[in-house]
Amino acid sequence: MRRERWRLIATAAFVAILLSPAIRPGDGVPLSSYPMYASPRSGEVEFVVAHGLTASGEAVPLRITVVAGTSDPLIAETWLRGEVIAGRSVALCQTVAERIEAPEIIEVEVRSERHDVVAQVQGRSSLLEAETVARCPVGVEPT
Amino acid sequence: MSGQRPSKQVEPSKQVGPSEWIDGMAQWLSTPAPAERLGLLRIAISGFVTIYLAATAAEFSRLATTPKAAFDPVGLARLLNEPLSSELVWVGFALLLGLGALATVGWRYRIVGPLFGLGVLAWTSYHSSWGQLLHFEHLFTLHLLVLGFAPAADAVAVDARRTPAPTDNVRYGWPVRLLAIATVTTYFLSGLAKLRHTGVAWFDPDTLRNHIAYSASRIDLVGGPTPPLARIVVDRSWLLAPMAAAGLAVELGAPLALAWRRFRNWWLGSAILFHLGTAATMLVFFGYRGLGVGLLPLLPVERAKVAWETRRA
Repeated sequence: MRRERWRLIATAAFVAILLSPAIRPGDGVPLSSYPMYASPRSGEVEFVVAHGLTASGEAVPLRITVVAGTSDPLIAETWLRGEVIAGRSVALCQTVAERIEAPEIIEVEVRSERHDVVAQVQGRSSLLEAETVARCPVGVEPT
Repeated sequence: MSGQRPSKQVEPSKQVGPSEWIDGMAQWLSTPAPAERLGLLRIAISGFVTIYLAATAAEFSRLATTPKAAFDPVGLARLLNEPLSSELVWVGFALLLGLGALATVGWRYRIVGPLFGLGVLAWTSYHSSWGQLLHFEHLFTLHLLVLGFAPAADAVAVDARRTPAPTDNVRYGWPVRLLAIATVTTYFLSGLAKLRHTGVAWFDPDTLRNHIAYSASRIDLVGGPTPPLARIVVDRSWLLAPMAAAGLAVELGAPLALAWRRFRNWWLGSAILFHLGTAATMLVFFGYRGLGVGLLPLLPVERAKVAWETRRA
């Protein structure tokens, strides 16, 4: 019986550790309060996007692996936004430009865009506001 | 008295107080289990993580070349003053794959098990140290840490080839309980977070609609495939409140799956549907749980092996 009680105490401590992120600030690894999608979200969201530009100025969509070097949209979005917030928009643009292989794309443009996300999903016009944060040529050595 | 049925003796009603409840919990935690159950969980969980690491080699490549300025250490990565060199990242990758393979087959597990668990903790900490916590890696990290310090290679393991099959024992049962507790607790925390941060507004159709629309838009704008059911759900607001309630019920109801077997089976099916739903509407898929691996600790997995062997015989 004594071992059973010790096992119960150890398990209670294990559960307390797992639940601790719910009562202390911050989030971590591997203990977390799993706050993703827990907070309400506005229907208007700002995204950082990158696309290629042809010689005629036509915008060409880029694959996620070209833009962010990953196929995970969450990682890609976080990285793009983080680079712009940290003031590394030009470096971000040059990193994307280095991955461009399509010959018709001569420039990369990085933009901060605010979208009505519901309209975006429904196929309607969604762009509310846009600002170019960086433009850089393709095929030029980064400074 | 002839012709009369003897009066039924009524026992005094037995009240279940805190002491009885604690004793019941202690007995539940101390229930013996076959070594095979823990061994099969070792194979499934270590095998999954090893394959996952190999399949996400591109992430190692990406982090080996990501600019240092983006490094924002969390977890064990806080021990680092700066990001690892690309050479060290690849050495770590090779080590993890090797340890994972050895842990899966159960070779020298007393050493390999803890090393693999701690190695995965180090990697997932490093992986989440670039501005975004990757919550889908947390549960298997916790599971590997429990498994790594448990006698998980006493059966169905290279280590166990020359030893007689051990009898059922609490030393195998308790770690399985801990794995199951970790699983249901992570679901419960997720549901709790929604109540804390959103409250009753969680049941407002616009709440889930905006989450689904945000995820779908993010993928579309960053450059990826559109979630197949995103538009269908967003166009039908009457679906959203029931979906929100069902998802919250799965999360908050998870601990009850430890208490009743029938509810457990319902909950497991609901959890799988939940993950398929988030994949179809938001392209958010926690593969470790959605493919069922993270849910296996709630099941007597050795019975599947017995059934398979019986069928083959």
